[in-house]
Amino acid sequence: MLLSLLPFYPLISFLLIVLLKKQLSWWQTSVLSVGAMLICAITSLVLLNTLNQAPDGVITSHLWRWFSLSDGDSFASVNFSFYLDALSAVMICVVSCVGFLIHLFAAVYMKEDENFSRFMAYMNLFIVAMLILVLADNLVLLYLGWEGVGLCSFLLIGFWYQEKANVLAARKAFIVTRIGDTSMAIGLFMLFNSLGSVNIVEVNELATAQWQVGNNDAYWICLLLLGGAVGKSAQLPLQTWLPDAMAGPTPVSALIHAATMVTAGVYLIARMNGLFILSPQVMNYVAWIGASTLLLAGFAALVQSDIKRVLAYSTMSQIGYMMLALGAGAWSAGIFHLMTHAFFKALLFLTAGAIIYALHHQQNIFKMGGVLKRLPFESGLFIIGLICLMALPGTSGFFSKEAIIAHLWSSPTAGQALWWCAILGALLTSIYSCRLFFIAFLSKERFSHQVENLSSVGLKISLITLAVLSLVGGFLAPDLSTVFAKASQEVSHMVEPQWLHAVAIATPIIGIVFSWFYFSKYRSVEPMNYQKAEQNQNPIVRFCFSGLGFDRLYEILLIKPFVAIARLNKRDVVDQLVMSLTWYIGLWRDVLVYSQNGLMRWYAAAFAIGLVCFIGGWLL
Amino acid sequence: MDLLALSMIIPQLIIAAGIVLAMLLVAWRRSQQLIANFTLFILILSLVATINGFGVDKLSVTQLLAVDDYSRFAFILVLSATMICLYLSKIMLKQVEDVHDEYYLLLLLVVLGAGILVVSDHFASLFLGFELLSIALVGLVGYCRKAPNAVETGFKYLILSASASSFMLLGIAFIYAQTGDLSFTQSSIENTGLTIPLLYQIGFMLFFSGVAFKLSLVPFHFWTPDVYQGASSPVAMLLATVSKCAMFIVLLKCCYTATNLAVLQHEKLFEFISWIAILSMIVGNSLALKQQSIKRLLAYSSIAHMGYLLIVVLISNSSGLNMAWQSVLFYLTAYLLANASIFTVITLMDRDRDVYLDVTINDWCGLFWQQPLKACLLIFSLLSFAGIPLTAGFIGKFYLVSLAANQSLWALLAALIIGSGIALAYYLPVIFSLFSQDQVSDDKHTVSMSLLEKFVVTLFIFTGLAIGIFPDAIGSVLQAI
Repeated sequence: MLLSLLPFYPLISFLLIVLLKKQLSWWQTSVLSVGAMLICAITSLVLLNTLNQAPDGVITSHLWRWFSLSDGDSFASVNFSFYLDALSAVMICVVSCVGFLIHLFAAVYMKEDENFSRFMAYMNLFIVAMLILVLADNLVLLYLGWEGVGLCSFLLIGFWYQEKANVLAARKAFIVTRIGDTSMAIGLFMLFNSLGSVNIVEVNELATAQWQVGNNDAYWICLLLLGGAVGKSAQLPLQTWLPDAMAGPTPVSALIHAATMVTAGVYLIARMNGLFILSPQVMNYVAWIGASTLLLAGFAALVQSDIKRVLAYSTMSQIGYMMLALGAGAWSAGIFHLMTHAFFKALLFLTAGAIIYALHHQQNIFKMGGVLKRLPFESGLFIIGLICLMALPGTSGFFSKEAIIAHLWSSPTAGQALWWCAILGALLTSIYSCRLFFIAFLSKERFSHQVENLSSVGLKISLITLAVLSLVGGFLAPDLSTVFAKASQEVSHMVEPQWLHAVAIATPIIGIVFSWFYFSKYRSVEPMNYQKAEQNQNPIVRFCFSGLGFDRLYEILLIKPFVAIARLNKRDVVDQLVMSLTWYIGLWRDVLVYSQNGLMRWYAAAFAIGLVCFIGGWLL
Repeated sequence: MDLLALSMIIPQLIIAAGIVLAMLLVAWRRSQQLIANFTLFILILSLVATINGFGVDKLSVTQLLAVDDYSRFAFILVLSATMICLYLSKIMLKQVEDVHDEYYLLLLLVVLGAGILVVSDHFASLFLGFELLSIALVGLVGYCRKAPNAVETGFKYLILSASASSFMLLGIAFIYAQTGDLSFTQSSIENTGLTIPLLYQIGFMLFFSGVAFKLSLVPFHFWTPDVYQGASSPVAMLLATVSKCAMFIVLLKCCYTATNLAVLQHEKLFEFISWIAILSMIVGNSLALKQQSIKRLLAYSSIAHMGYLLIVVLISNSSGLNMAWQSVLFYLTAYLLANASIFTVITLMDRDRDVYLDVTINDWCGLFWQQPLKACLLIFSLLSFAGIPLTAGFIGKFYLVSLAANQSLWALLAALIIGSGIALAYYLPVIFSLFSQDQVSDDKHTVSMSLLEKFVVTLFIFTGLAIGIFPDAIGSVLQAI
């Protein structure tokens, strides 16, 4: 009962806000949307608690039958049903709790915006779609949520649509993820075609029962589903939309493009684990995609100048870790990292948002400097976020990241090369975090405005709660053994060298020590000429700055030819043909009109002539 | 003729008796209110009798008539259309001249003609019904003598209709000469195998051209726009619905006999009818383009609609007959409803101003902003005519398309699609003009509607929507037949 109501709280709030848009004051809108999220969060926690007592660790809730599919002999009904197990319980808790905190923050942060109610309505709608996505008991409903979050992401990136750049970013995000979605849809069709079911539990069971490991069908289906996951989670090669998506308001970046939606791809793969273990090859691809995205994003984050873009690339690289974990068969570790990442990345984004707000919408870190002194509260929270991101021992990031790295060496679908990638990634993470911190927070201030502090209780509550969660999140490790029981048997126990863990733990610290000396000029007190430094970058830095040139590559490979073809056919040939048809019909009509002259003798004659013509035609 | 057979044609008998009684009523007391109510009473009685008869198997009543559920359904359509016409006529006649008892008498005669047509199983009864219908309609068309073109229109209709009848009679005579039998289900030809006698073919063509005149199929369509425009709106509606509906049903009854199915598959006759259908679709739709007068527009669009419907005449195998009947009846229902709706709006418009003025698209400019209810009805009806999804017209057209595709009638299908494409080019501008902001300030739409009128309009809207959204409601009735 509680379960079936969960997505309806934000839905009701969404509808009310949309319908009563004009009448509601800021206060009413906030209470409505944040209140709905609070109820959602409490319900999720209650559900998490009841799940422990539930037999076989599953709660289901059937709402109504949506439609039914029949495939010759087999018949599958697609229901509006929710399925809650340990995995989706983790997800709903993350979505609704982090969602609640971000809503609370957003209500304060966006107060001045004239379209405040539209913003909160979209945010609520997003939560509805996200909850449907994670609770869906069948893949069609999951796809509904999947598209729903994509739509909300589009709407929210382009929230300030008055500026062209934002609209372009929204469009880019929509189109790039759509490529992934298409691949996923094809995957779903193939899945239904070969298994005759879309129910997730059934699919996982049927796949294990019917297919051997390495089955060709399973390979293609997994690959296509991976395409969807890659698009949504901004992994190679569909990662280009995420940095641009930072054009949206900061709470959106925190909620959608860090904590929840972008991890939907990870969730999808984890959800379909029964299918993916049948295809070790695709698992290997997943791991390699994760690893290469992780490194690519790490390098790109090293040279960014926009604080939100640094965080965006860092999100990409952290999702790369999750993918790596899934690819290595470390399902629980991947989901654990998803959870902790949601906490600390939401914290980072929101604090960044607060800082940006205080500095009058200044996002360029080279124009910040000395924030630590001016905004000690925000800076303190940001530091907490950063040490979690770097995975310093004791923080939540440490537990989850170590869990992932520990699995890699001996995993059959990962291996030593990937382990080294992960270590390198961890090193990069700590270096770019330090760089960000040094440039933006230390040294002397390089801005002239007065800081405008956001002081609101709600805002502080949400930030502090997230900070606490980030710190202690490591002890909230979810027990997912029931979900991945079948999938995790495969991991063999190879002998691992003793030094592995030591290296993994030491890596972030090495990164910090390295940065302390390498970036010493950033933290020095005397101001340096950053504008000059920004212009005189060497080509490699510029290459990294542009996200390793993927945008450029796609422009040359895809956009240019497409636009050229479109331009070639500017005066659409087919359209011309059709339009000429209308011209002929117009002419034909003008001729025919003469036959309607109102003269009865002509009518009678035409009657006879018509008949004579027909009989003549018949005789011939 | 036993009692059971007699009971089959009770609805028609009620109408016939009603006519006699109505004449006596006229002699007794001349009151428009009285006779209008009496006519309504007769129609309702007949409707009840028809519905009551549903479910009884096909039964021949003498040689002349054969009653089955298809005819009953068609007769229900006819009766409903007549009732709507009656309602509109009352509105219209209030405005014209003093007392109009004859008008209702003629109306009943039209219904009787249509009633005989839908149950006829014999060329003689067909001709009887045909003439009854035509002559009564001539009277109705020219009824408002003071209208500018009424007499001219009546004459046109009379003379052209008479020549059509004579062609038809000649055709029937040829058929009789060849077979010696006037029943639809001849047996003599079947025995001769595949070769169909030439005289029979010519006879069939002549007969068909007579029917085609009534259905206003190209090239026998010339009278249609003039007569629609010249007749008063309720009568034009009668022409568009009752007369066409009844004629089409009798055409199908004639064609769907074992003999004539074979005859129609004869290459040349098949081509003959295909050409008529294709020409009707294209010519009808093309002529409606740029048409300003709404009634003329409807006349041309009715030509095209009958052309679409002609597809079902050409189906080859007898197994698809049930499906064909269903599609025809569904299509006719949708067509009738949309016609009735638009003519209702036209009549209400007539009432609010000079009755004899032709309604043009310009008169409807900005109607939506002043009388949204009427405008909504118009939008639904026009969309239904155009066959846009979620309207009854879409389902009807869908049936036709699936039939044509099943029978591989590709040329007809192509014409249907092109025709529908052209049709959008004249239906949509009407809808756009309803929303136009230009001439809203005119006071021509200010007369408000009475409660009953509002109710009727709303009822039409809901019926149309209901059929469009739940086509199964009618589909299941038709399937049960």
